[in-house]
Amino acid sequence: MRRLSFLVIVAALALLPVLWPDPYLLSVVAAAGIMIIAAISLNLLLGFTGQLSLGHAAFFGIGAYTSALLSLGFDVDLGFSSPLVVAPKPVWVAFAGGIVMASLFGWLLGKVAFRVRGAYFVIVTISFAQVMRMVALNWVDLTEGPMALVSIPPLSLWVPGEGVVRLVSKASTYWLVLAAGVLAYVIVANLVRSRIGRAAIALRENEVLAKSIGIPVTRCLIVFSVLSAGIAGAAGGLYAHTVRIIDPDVFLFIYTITMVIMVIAGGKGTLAGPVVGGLIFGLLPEMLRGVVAPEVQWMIYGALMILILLFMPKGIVPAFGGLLKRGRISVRRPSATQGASS
Amino acid sequence: MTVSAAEQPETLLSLSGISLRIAGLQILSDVDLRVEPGRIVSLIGPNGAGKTTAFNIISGYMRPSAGSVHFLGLDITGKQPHEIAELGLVRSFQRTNIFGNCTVFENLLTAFHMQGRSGLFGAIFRLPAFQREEQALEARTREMLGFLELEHRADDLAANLSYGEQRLLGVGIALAARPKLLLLDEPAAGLNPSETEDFKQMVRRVADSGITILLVEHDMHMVMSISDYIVVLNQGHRIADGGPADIQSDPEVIRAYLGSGLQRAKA
Repeated sequence: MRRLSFLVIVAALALLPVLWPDPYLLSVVAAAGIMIIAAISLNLLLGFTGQLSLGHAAFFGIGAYTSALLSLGFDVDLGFSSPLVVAPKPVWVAFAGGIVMASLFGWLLGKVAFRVRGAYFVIVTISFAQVMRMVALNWVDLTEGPMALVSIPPLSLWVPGEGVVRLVSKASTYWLVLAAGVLAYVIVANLVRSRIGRAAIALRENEVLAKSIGIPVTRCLIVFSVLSAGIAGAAGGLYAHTVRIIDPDVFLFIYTITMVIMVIAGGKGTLAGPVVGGLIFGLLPEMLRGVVAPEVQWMIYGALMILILLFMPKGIVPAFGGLLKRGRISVRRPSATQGASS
Repeated sequence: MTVSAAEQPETLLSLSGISLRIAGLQILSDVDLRVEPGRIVSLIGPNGAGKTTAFNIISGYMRPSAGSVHFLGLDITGKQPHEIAELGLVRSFQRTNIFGNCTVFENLLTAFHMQGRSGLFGAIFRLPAFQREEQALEARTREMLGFLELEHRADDLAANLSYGEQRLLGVGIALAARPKLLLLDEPAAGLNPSETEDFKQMVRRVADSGITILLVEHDMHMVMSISDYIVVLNQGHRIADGGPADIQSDPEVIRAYLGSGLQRAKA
């Protein structure tokens, strides 16, 4: 049942460019989709292990910059008269490199999370993103600083009958983002409904108790932050190769905040939460554009968020999931309380 | 004195010379304790005697200033809680004993963590081995629900259970970790008399299934009726040990702790 509705939704989304081939619409949805992937990755950490990372844009940016730089090639002088020259790599190799680099930093963050929790962890993550932004701004040899990295090559794909196609059309970008999004969603869904996923939730719910039943809390946190960072890095790579220009602003705090809003409004700790939240808060600014003045846009944005949190403090998905009786991870059990819902 | 507990295989758990000082305060001083397999051992004493601290040291949540803890002949002093749990020494907690926002079923399924082997790869790709293991764990979870008599609550959030049921679930979570030695920290606190009676029966059933139990409890009626052996702590010192009858007649124990409680225990 769940699987069927999932497939129907994916199929409907995949048909969108055919049914409604409006390039503006497709590029808006694709841009929102990239943010949704980032939100899915944040949810893995915030929603399931309960650790609030306010530097998540850093992984996004690291993925974007690494992927862009590897595909463009670069040479920098590391000092000690040892120049590092990297020739341009195939785009998919660069993309994978971006994921690996982001994961490495995720591993580092997981190590830190082992030592500091709560507010301290939040501060560490904010500082981390700020440092990354400073590096991107000031290491001009490598990143071009505020002049931005331009002419980033697009991803390409071999299509039967057509040969190698550069994914530059709005429709192909849309499909690329959709495929990546579905992959990220399935990975997270499978992960969460498994032994290690339950261990992470146990850590979120009651760390002391989790340890007492033999859950290696540290290892669990590291695994989740590596995966979370990796997926965020993939979102960053997608951004770099579809927008094809990146500047240090990708590290801005506002992007992290946008991800957090998407996750919290949609419902943290639920699978569909970041998707629903991401669609609303990713598409809303574009939908309001031209309808109302820009200042009013942000007021509506803010008011909507407050209303959601006021009336649905756990987020949209749990609120409606309660009505539909399936917001939670379901377990096959003969239930005595079925049919009690309205 | 210098005989290591490790050389005596009949001892499951032994504490030798355990002391703990925190900022000039002597919480425990030179406490020895021995738990033989297959028994129900109780640790009693007035509030502040150091009972829960002793539990924290045994289960790895605190590190003693001096002394050592041996379990199954291994020195486990200073090991991480999850490492100690892996060896088969599992505890329950006074208060924080459930995963509130998960269903009862999920609580127990989570607690079977150590009985699983599947990793990241199997989970993401839903490999057949992973699926088999999940089914096996779910079957065991249902079994445990039956043992706890909580089947009718399986799909309810643990936070919505009654207090007595939450305590029961807490023990179930500890049992799911397959302990050889189970530490129960005031399991009957706050239970009404009939719940306490049910709880006592369950502790018996657990003990009969071959699990050794170390119990901290204030309900003297329960302690005296189910313990094989009792150790009394007072102000960080061990002041007495022996069978229930010996303890009830020990003048120092009566003075320090039992007092009027003795009458209730005999009633």
